Amino acid sequence: MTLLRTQAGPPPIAMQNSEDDPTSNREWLAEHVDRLLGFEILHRSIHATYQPLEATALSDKTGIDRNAAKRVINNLRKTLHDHRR
Amino acid sequence: MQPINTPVIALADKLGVPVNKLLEIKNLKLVKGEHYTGYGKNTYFTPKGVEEVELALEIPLAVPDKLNGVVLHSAKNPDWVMVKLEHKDGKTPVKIGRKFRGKLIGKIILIDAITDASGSTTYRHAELRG
Repeated sequence: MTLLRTQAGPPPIAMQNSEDDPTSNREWLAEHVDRLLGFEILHRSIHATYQPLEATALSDKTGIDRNAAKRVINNLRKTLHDHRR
Repeated sequence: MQPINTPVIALADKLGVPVNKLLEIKNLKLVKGEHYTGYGKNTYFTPKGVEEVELALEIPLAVPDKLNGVVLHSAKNPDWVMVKLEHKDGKTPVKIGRKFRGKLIGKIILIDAITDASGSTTYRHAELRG
């Protein structure tokens, strides 16, 4: 009886609104990050803003992972290093 | 010294566009106080507003539309909140900054609607501009 009552109750908090909340969907996020990154590049090019942007600020503005810039640089360094050998 | 604001009629003459076109841009893309003051044909654009109008005429996608919305609740991803936008049914995810996490529930916020060439739109808290 207790089991039946539990099943009929409201869903756990983590499962609520899962259908109308796409923000944890990787594809959806990637699409929006792309759009925000594109806009940021356009905006900075038009206003000739070439000052460096901190990783946290870029993450805030575009939704990109905070360590993404560091990863890209590390990958580039590794690729260049492998090329030289 | 206060900057000189430009009347909408003078700006329309200077740019060679109809006044109604400028008023349309003003309603969609500019913020009262920051970009303009006044109402209808008594609208005065601030220097920053003039810049935005000129940019909006040249590259419409570079100046996002401005919307107001009420924050309903946080989304599963804490960088986003669900918002009821004005003139739109249902709730829409809006990107917010880290420092605003958990602080916007129930508040009316200004939102940038960032649209790309394909016509798809992402909504972002206007505080993240600049």
